[in-house]
Amino acid sequence: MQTSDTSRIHPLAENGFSVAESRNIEKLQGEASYQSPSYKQKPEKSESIKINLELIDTLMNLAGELVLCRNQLRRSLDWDIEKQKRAGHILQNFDLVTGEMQELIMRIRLQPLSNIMNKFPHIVHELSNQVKKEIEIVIEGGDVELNKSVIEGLSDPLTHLIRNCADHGIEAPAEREKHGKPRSGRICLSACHEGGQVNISITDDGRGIDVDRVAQKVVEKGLMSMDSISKMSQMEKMNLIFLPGLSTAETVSDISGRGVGMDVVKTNIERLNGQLEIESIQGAGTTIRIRLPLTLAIISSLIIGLEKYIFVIPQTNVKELICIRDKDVTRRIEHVMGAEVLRLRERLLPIARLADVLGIERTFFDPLTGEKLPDLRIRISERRKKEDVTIDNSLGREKKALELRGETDDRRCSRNKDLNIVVLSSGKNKYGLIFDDLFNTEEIVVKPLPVHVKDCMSFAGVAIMGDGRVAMILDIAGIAKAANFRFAEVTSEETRRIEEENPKNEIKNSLSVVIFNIAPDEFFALPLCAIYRIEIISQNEISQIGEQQFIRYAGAPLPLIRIDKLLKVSPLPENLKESCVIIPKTELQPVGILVSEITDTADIPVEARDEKHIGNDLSDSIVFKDKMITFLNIEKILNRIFV
Amino acid sequence: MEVKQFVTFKIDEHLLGINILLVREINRILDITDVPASRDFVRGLLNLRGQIITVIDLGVRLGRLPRKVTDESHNIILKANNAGLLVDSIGDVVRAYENEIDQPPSNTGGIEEQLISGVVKLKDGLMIILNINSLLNHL
Repeated sequence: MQTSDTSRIHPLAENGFSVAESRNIEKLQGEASYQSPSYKQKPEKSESIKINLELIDTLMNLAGELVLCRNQLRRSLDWDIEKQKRAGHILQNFDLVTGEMQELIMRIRLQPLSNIMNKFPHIVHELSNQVKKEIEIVIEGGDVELNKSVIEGLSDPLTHLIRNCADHGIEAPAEREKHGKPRSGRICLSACHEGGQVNISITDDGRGIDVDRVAQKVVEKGLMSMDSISKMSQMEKMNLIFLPGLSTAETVSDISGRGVGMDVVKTNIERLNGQLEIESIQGAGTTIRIRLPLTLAIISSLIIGLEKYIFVIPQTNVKELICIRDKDVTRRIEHVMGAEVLRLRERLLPIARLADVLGIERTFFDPLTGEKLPDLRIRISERRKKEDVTIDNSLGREKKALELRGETDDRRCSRNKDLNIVVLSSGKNKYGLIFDDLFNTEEIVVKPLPVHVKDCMSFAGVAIMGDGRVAMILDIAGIAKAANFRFAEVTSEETRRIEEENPKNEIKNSLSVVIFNIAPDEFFALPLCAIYRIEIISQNEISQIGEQQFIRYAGAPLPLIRIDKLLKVSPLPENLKESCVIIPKTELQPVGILVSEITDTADIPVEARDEKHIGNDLSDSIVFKDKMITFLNIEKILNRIFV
Repeated sequence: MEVKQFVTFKIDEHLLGINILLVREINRILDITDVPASRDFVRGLLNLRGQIITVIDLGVRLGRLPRKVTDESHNIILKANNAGLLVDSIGDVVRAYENEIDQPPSNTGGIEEQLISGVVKLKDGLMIILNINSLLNHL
């Protein structure tokens, strides 16, 4: 470790500007630890100095600025770096050094979680004496490191949650024995890294949360009406424990029961940009999960555009990006009671339009005057639908007129009408957000939201972009709230459905397949692992030599196989503008299979294929989700062709 | 007698002033990022050497129309609150003795009374001194 560090510093020194810098650092160090003994003399002893936190904060800020400068420099040099090879090397070096420096400065502020976790055995021991219960605590992952300010902010909420477990969660020994549990209760506090986040979970094996009693208490205290509660799902009722002023404990004790609690825990965690989730099985215990971002300062994020605005979405929230082709918009985006949903792999994904959520006026450019005008069409898809209907019912002349109008329609919208959707997740909830332009991903410096715009719940913070501009960071949970999504129900519905779909053991023995059409409504499948690539091609890319069709692929002609010429299936529609070419993995000569459309991917249980099926040696068919799907035996098909 | 100095600037035809000690700097960074769904007097945010400054449209704050950005437009960045004021144009620094500052007249129709902390009589007109505290407090 040590040696690699020094070797990385050397190139800097060669560039000739690090000498003064390092002297400054030495001076700083010297000031901070007055007459600190030279570290060369005692390398075996790990030494530490006390540094003013303010100094580190300033250093952090400067590191942030340095990263910005680097990004600016990189962007402005990007286009002529080709010519200047040397500049490229220097820039790369600079990149490396700044990156490392930033990371190290971040690490100065990181502290192991054990700093606060280590006090919990003591607390639990005292508590168990107080409440006359037998409780043991297991602590895992104390070596996970977090920003010092986060650690400090975590101390109180964690203490509270542990107290809760001990006081409310764990039952008295006698009661536990009656329920067939070991006499002593067990609290497990664990922390781990997971994809740029730190997950902390607190699990007890106590009595769990009695959701109905929580609801009852809420009504008793007059916090909510019976009416509104009866409409809630179990999940939503569970979340009621975060209401201020609520306690289900029968008596107020020294430890808990005063009703100030979970709401404060939640706000504290949210202040740290964390998320809190609660899961409880009555009689078996409760798990509380806290997710925290690793650092508060610099995050990698996705940059999107809407009208003239630029927004930033933290990469951790982005699940996938979907582009719906113009022609498919009406088909893919459907409406449930006025709300828009997207069918995504047989699930319904609620979607919102960012412009509507933020109240941004849509505009378009007038093709004649070039003027920017407000777009009065609220939902393009809806209007299209209406137009389609009129076309169907209209006589020839009207149809022509409409077609003409349709043409101008296309021109008047300067924007590409393909629909961009980003699938976002906050906690377990997922939704889609429609935006205009997709730019890139970038490391941005996060700044807190200024006081004057604090009341906008759609924003989580402010980002300074690589070019120095300011952009708003979208708050994924806030937008869901602003768009009036009700997730709790959706989630429970989802879990139910997942359980229904995958009766436990089946999941392991499944095969991921790609499902595609040749003729509409005839479904074929190939295992995902047998596919090398899928290309979308337009009809004019296909060239014909006699019976055989070819496309240009990776600079060489790729012969195309038509399944409808091999098997007795309906042929490929003639008038397709676009089709897909599936290139299977093969040791023989590479070929492409021409199909009309990729419709889905699915996990098909292996057993399904062993059941009764019809077919020959080239294919066999199964019924999956009420669809007849024909599996192609790609090996045999290729052998048949080449041999 | 204490001398106070004021940064003067214009909103429409009005000459306004702020105590110079409250001002961090005056600049022309007009690359202001609009914040959708924010309150109307928030013009947007700007990046001042790594610090986010909220720019307040002083026109809107004083109950007038939003400012149009011209060649004369400036931001007055305040020391407090990381806030800046977008104004039409910047004038001279005016020095005034404390006894030259009059109480705001009770009939200041155009501007909310509590936003004014005094009026200074100059040769060619009046300068209205803004009360920055109440200007920012009511946000």
